Parts: sequence; C-alpha cells; structure tokens
Amino acid sequence: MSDIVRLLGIARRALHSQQAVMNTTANNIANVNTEGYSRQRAILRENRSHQTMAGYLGSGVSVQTIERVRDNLIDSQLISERPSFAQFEFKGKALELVEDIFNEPSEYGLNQSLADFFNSFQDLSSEPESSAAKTVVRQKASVLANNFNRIHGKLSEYQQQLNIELTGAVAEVNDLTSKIANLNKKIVSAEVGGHMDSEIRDQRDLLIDQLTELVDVRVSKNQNGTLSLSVAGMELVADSLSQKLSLKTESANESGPKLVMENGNGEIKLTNGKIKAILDIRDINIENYKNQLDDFAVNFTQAVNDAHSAGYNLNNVTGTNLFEASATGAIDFAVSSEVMNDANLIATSDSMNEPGNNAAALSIIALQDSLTMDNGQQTFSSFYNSLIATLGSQTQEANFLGESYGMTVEKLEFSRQAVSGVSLDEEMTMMIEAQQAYAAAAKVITNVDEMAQTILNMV
Amino acid sequence: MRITRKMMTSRMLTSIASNRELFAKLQMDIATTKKMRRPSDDPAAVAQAQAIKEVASKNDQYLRNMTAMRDSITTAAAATDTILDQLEKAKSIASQGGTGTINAEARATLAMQVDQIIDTVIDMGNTNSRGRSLFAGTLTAATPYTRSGDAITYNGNDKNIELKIGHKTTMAYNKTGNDIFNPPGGVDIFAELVALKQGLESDDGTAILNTISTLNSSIDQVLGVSSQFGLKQEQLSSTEIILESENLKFADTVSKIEDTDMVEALVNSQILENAINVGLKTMADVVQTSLLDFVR
Repeated sequence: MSDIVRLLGIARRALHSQQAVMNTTANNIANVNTEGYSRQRAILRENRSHQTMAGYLGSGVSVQTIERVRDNLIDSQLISERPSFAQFEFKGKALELVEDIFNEPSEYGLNQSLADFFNSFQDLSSEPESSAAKTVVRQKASVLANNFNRIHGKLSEYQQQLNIELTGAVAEVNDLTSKIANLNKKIVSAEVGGHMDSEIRDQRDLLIDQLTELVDVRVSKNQNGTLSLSVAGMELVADSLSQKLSLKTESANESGPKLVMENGNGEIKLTNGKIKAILDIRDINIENYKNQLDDFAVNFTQAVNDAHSAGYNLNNVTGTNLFEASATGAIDFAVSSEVMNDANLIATSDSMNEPGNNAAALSIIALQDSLTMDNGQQTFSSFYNSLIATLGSQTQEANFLGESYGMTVEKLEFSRQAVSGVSLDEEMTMMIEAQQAYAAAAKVITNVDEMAQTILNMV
Repeated sequence: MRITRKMMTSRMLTSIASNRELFAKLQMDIATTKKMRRPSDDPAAVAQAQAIKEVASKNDQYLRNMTAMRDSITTAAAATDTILDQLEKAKSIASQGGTGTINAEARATLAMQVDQIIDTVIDMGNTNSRGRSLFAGTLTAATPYTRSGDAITYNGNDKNIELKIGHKTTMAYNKTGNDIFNPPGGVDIFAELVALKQGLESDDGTAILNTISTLNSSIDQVLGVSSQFGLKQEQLSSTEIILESENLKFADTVSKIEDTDMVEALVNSQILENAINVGLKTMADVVQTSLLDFVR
C-alpha cells in the first residue's frame, strides 16, 4: 500500500509543478507588453530517488525555483554604451538649434549683412556727396549690429534654457538613485530565502536604463543582491543609501552652475551621458561661439572706427566713430549714437573741403579684404565662415556619433529582447506541454485510484 | 536566436521610421529646391559655397561701381567732344583772322565769336553729372571755371577719384580741369583762346597767326584726354564681360553645391515611398500571424 501512496505523491507533485509552469507561462503572457519585464522560467528538478532492492525508483518532480532570464553581459554593455548614445544624440540636437540661431546659409544671416554693409560703402564711394547713400550705409550698419546682438542674445538665451534642462536632469538623477537605493533595501529582505525576486530586479534594471541616459554611471554588484553606483569616482548609491547630485554657482561670470555632490564641493567631471552633453554645449561650444563673435565685433568696431574717424564728412567734421567705441562684444555692438542721429556725419574724404573725395570710404572698403582677424590670417568674413564651418562639422560629427552609438544600443537592446523578451509562440508551446503533462499526471491519479480499488476489492 | 513579436515590430518600426526621415528630408529638398540648408549638411561644401557667393557679391558690386563710372565717363567724353569742336572753330577763326586782307572791323566780329567760344568751353569745363562737377578733381561741389573779363580761374584741384573695379584693382575715372586745359608742360588752352581774342581785338595779325600752332597742340591735348576716356570705357566693357562671365560660372558652381537635383530627388523619393509601403505591408502580414492561429 505504501507504493500506492508514493505513486499518488508523485502524481500530486507533478500536478503542482505543472501548475507552477502554467502560472509562470500565464505571467509571461500577461506581461508580454510590459516595459522592462524579463520572461520568467520555472526550473523543475527531479526529486531524490529511493533506493530499493531493484535499484533506484524515481520520486517525481518539484519546482526548484522561478527565475527571470537575463544576460548580464548585455546589461553591462548597455550600461557602458547608452551614456555615449545619450551624449551625442543630445549634442546633435542642441547644435542643430545653434545652427538655426546662426541661420546660415541664408539671405538674412550675419554673412549677408556684412557683405551688405561693405557694398553700401561701395555705393557711397561712387557718390560721396549723397545723403541718401549715407542713410543706406547707416541702415546696413545697424542691420549688421542687430544681427550680432540677435545671435549673441539668442546664444545666451539658449544657455539659460540648457540650465533649466540641467536642473531637471539632475533632479531626475537624484530621484532615480533614491529609488534604486530603496529597491536595494527591498531586495535584501525579499531574497533572504535564497529565491530571486524577479519583479524588483526588473524594476531596478529599468531604473538603471533610465539613469544611464543621464550620466555615465559605474555599476557594481554586491553579494547580497544590492547594486552600488558611482559617477566620476563619487559614490551615488551604496546599499540602501543614496547621495544627491547638486548644482552650484560659483561666480556670476560663468555660463551656469557647476555639477557637484550635495555633500561636497569638488566639481564632478562626467565623461558621458546627457548631463555631460548639456554642460559641454553650454560651457564649451556656445561659449566658444560667443567669444569668437565678441572678438569679431570688437575688432570690427576698432578697424572701422580707426578708418572712419580719420576721414572728414562734407562739413569737415572728423574723428567721428561709426560704431559705438565702448563695445565690449557682440551684445553691445552698435552704430554710434552720433551717426544714429545724423547720417551725414559719415565721413568719406581724407581731406577737408573735398566733397568728391572718397578716399576714407575706400579705406573702409579695403577692410573687407584685409587680414584683420586671427593674428592677420583671416578676413572678417573668412573668420566668420570658418566659425560656421566649425559649427557645421561639430554638428555633423555629433549626429554621426549619435547615430552610430544609437545603432550599437539598438543592437544590444535587440539582443536583450532575444534573451529576455516574451515570445507568445514559445509560451503557447509551453502551455500545451504543461497542459498535457498536467492531464497525464491526472490520468496517473485515476489509474492509481483504480489500482487501489483493485487492492481493496481483493480484501 | 529567439525572435519575439516585439523584436519584429520594433525593428520594422525603426526601419520604417528611418525611411520616413529620409523621405521627409527629400521632400524638403524638393520643396525648397536646396539640398544644403544648414552647415552640418556638408560643412566643407557650405563653406565653399559661402566663399564663392562672397566673391560673386563683390563682383556684383564692382559691376554697380562700373555703371556709375560709365555714366560719368560718357558725360565727360561728350563734353570733351564739344570742346574739340570749339577749338577747331577757334582754329579756323584764327586762320581766317590771320590773313592780311581782313579789316579791323571784321576781326572785332571774329573776336566776339572767340569770346562766345571761351564761354562755351568754360561751360563744358563746368559739366556736371547729377550735381557733381566732373572736371574739378575732388572738389565736386565747386564750379570749376569762373570768368571775370579775360581772367579765367580754375577752382578745382588735381586729385583723381577712384572706385574699386576688382579685388585689388581700382580705376581713376575722372580727369581734372588741369588735365584738359592746362597740364604741366602742355598748353594753357584758356590763355591761348584769350590771346586769340585779344589779338583779334587789337587787330594784331602776327599775334593771331601765332595762336594757330598752339591751338593745334591744344587740339591734340584734348584729343589725348578724349582717347583716354575711350580707353577707360573699353576697359570697363572688357572688365564687365569678365566679371559677368565669372558670376555665371559661380552661380553654376553654387547651384551644383546647393541645389537639389530634381530628377534624382524625385526618383529617390519614389523608391523610398515604395520601400515604406512594402515595409508597412510586410509588417501587417507578419504581425497578424502567430501560433494562436493554428492551435485549438
């Protein structure tokens, strides 16, 4: 009779196990579209055999554990590749916005207004007595000044927007790290029994994915199931504790606040991720463009004023500045208030009392072809054109790198899906297998029952 | 490799999206007729196009400068032609008045004609174009020649006025009053005309005859100036032709760099459209089938 009881036990454990398989399958199917879900698998184990006179008799099946299917290598590759993708993707988009600000090549960019300014002086040189031509010169000069002001102003405005974006991204990092620390704590208590808590781990991995878009975080696994995170050598998460990032403004001159630890002062130098991209664009790219524009505006003001103030207008007034000499950069580059009030102050002659003399105008026109910029290597317009070309190649490079890292990330995510994604076809076959095994085990019980009846009837 | 439904749909969506992106760019290329719209489209080509456009814009300006010069030169050349006529007339008066058979009365009449000639030549010397005196050097607001009795004064200076007609080239387009009427080492034309007039008035045959040879040299002198105007006009014409053909070539190069090749763009957009449609169709077919359709 004990054999019969053992048979029933085998069948009962088989029913339980197949139910567990079915449960796992049902859970997989239910989560087929859940972001961050890894498919789970019930690991069945053959039970310990019994030694008998005739040898070992098997004693059925039981569920060893339910685990999620995940490839750690792919995960760690994604952790290292995603920040590069995020960095260059953001840089590409940001630099395209900067390109829009410069608005080149177009009929309305700075390049065109610079050419217009010199051309208006050429027209004036062919008719130095004309008030109309002087009004045109003044108008072209003020369009040029407006273009400088506009571009410089827009660049500063964009730096401010980047600061807002930066604040948001830092807050997001802090939110993610505190959630991850919290999940660390949960995992330690949930996995005390030695079984993996797939749900919490999936959640945590999803948060890591989001975090790696923002910063190039280093992730290390601990024995107890927790993850330790650090950026640039600074610990962000250890066990259930997280440290916050913060922003700090040191002086009013800089383009925006620096990234620091909330409990420390040293600037954190990231190497990748969206935050690194924001800081680079703000502090390196845009700052550089602004400096070059300032350099341009100051040199231009000085060169034009030097040539212009040496000349005489029709009333023998000399020493007039065409542009405001106090300009410190592109933002306060402006037509001088004297000329704004009276265009006839524009000087064309290099001698008194010579209305037809256009020598002063010619010396201003000559500036168009003079190597005035970059230590005497570039003209004004070639200096500006190389700035635009630099911007263009930086944008192109960022877009290119963004695309190529994007493809790497996409491939890795594809591989991750291949390992961890739920395949409905597969789940269907699992379901059929489990169902048939369940039915067969039930049949075993029926048969064992008949066997027991047979024995009982014998008595 | 395990392939899940999600992998298939996401990969198809990615490739359809990237085709759509290319398609959108092509549509923009076609709509704007420009394939270079921002520096990053091709930084080197955009820089090249900018540099060429800058030169072309300067050329356009040089052409404008030359139009202004041509106006002034044409007017000045017409004035010198009139001066030549008047000098020829003075010369024939001199030969007529120099003959021994003519009496003092007739000479006085001729003197009045010479006086007329002097006024006309002064008028020509005071020629202006749009309010600017052409023969006053840079003193364009001055009246170059004023006369009181037989004293004729030049109120201009000896400066040339230049305009740019090329990257490193300027051209002086004016002639000063002294260039025409009293160049260093040349004939003082007004003094000569006054001498003729005074000779006629004082009935002095020798003095009259003396002016003939100097009037001849003064005609040569004005002819010299006139031919210089002609040369300048020729130089303007040939430079104009060069600049215009240069600009045609520039426009062609810039167009090749910047403009959309319409035929190519339309063909490519057709190909892309097909690719997108095929992608969508395949996705619809593939996504619909699963094991569920066959198991019951």
